[in-house]
Amino acid sequence: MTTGNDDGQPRDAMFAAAWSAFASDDARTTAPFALEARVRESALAACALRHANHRIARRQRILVALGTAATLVLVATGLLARRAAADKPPSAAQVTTESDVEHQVRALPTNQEARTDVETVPNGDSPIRASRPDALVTLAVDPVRETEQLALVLIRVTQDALWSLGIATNEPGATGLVDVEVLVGGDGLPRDIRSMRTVLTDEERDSRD
Amino acid sequence: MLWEPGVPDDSEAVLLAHAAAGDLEAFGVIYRRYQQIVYRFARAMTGSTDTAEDVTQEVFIALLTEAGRYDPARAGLSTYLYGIVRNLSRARLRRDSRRLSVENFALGSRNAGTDDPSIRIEQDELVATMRRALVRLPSRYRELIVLCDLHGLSYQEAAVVVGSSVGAVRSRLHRGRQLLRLRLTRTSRSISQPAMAPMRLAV
Repeated sequence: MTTGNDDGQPRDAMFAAAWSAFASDDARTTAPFALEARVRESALAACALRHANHRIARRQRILVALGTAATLVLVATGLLARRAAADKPPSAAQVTTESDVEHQVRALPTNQEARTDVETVPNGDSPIRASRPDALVTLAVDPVRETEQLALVLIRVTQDALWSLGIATNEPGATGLVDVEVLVGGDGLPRDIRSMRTVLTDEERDSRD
Repeated sequence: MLWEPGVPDDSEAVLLAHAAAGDLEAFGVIYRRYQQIVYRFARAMTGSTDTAEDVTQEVFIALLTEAGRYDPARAGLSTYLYGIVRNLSRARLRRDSRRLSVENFALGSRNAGTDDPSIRIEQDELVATMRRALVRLPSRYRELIVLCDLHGLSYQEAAVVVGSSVGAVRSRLHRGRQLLRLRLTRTSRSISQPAMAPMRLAV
């Protein structure tokens, strides 16, 4: 064999001659000329494919970055808007005192029939808004109570019906009517009770007078 | 790293970096520099010129597309290429292990050493016999005989290529040479067989 690694080298003449001829033949061997063109074409295709993959990957990275940035902007805008709404003091139009409310309450019917309808006290075209600190009774705790818009609703119900609001009256078995000013949230559920007044009949009013 | 066509730059790493960046001129330099050893090794390992061409093509494309895996500090580019050829050839042999090769690649090859037709025919037969015996060796022996005895690699270089210790290389090479001589003796007894007879490659 042809190298210095001569341990175990075949010694017989036939093997030596065969090996010598084989090694000479192998040493003259080169790749066919046509193979270079094939390899070059494959290399071109591989380069083109790699560049295409790089372009696609770069576009994907750009799209992901843009999407992430847009999401961050939206989240930040939402947080800022929410914080601004929380920090904003109630406007003068929304703050009404109890006397203002009473002033705007229109005359209620004085009949003894219990009314189940709900009246919204008008203030121009919009319902009267009231501030929460004037509440007589707090009925519900809402996570957005500090920022939500409340409507003041005047209802006339029997005293027994106050049970539905979680309020017990002092008069057992009382069946008289009461006017209740209820603060109603945006979802239509009662939040607070501003005031409760017993509805007096004409006779009762006369007797008190 | 600067490299210009025609300038004998020699750093294989520089050439490879340019080739990987799409410089086909640099790739051509690498190909012309290493095509012979790649093709010869692939041919000796697979026993087929067609398969050797395919393997050679795959080797250079793998070199181009995965140039970052080559570490010049670990081995020379030729050693690295030998490793790729070995792996691809073994994979190809495993895939084709159930196929029969009917190729005769030795007779009629470039035996230009003599003008005497009878001597030329005799040498062609010797080459065919040796190649037939070689391809029937298990690949773990064949690869070391080709690397060390045909391509002149040292034991250390061969150990890097096949991923074994020098001691294992030495032991396997010794065993392979013994087997080759034995196979050659058996093959030479039947040398009068038709050259196109099917043969099964050892994997």
